[in-house]
Amino acid sequence: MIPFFRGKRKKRLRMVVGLNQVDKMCPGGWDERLNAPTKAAEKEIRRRTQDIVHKLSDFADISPEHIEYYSALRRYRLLPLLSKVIGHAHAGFKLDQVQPADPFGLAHAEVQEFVREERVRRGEGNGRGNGQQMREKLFEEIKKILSPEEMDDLTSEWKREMRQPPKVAILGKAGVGKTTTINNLFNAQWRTSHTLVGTTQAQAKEFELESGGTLTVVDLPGYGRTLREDEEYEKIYRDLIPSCDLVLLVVQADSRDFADDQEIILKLRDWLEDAPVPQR
Amino acid sequence: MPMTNAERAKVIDLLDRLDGQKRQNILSSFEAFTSWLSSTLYTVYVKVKEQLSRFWGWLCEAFA
Repeated sequence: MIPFFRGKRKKRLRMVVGLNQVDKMCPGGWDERLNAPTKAAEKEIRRRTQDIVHKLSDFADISPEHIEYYSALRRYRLLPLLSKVIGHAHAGFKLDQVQPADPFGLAHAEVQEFVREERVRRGEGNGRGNGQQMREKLFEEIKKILSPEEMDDLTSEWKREMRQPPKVAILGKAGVGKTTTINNLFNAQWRTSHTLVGTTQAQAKEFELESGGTLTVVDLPGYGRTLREDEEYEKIYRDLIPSCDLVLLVVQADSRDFADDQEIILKLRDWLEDAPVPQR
Repeated sequence: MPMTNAERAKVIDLLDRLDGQKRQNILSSFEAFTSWLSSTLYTVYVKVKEQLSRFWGWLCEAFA
């Protein structure tokens, strides 16, 4: 839990680093029937990813709060990743109705049946409400304090913000699982794509969210192949990233070499700090 | 093959964790709202900051 109201105001950084494919860290450590890691594998994954988190956050001087580990393919820990996305994106509350793909959807049939029964028994939402209900209550509280003019300003800004679909830039090395991440994290259906620069290297893809509304994903070309390509792509990144609500950098968790990733995190941090709110 | 008791216990534990993670998303959403307000309407943010802080405490307590 982030102690939001403690200490001095934090500097906003619209970036999340996702350590993907953690299921590959422990061969034989996956329980296929339940679609979950074994106890020993889970412990090992946590230990090893903590090392990577420290390595990346120390190098780029960013908070470990910006980094999360998961497996898009196995649908493992997608909710903690979504939580980071909501918390660090500009107006990230627009994504709080998103339901990532269900990990038990990949479990064996008898497990799925047990899960279905257990969920029925628990009831929907545990009576604790969701993000939208929380906001309605919050607005009621705020209304008691603000003048009618201030409340009008707030409502009008709120409506203006809600009309803009969330815009997430995604990047990472080729084969790191960007597409699977988008599909399973946002449970989104691809609708249209259009090219953003002269080639097909960067594309804006529109997704229909199952929870309602749309999501724009700016799919950026992968780094780390040749120096020349990296220089060329850097111009694309610098051009497109400032307009995005969040940059989601996908990193291969079972890699041994994070030099390129560390470098790009450092650059992303600097570019995003230069544009603390999206330049729409 | 029927589920063993150990499997059932593990699934229940996993479902509990998923519920906890969903509650964490609500807290993240609240944090996102607060940040958005401070960058969009700072004067309004300053005026309601105390109320937001109390609301945050109430949410954390409800989800504890």
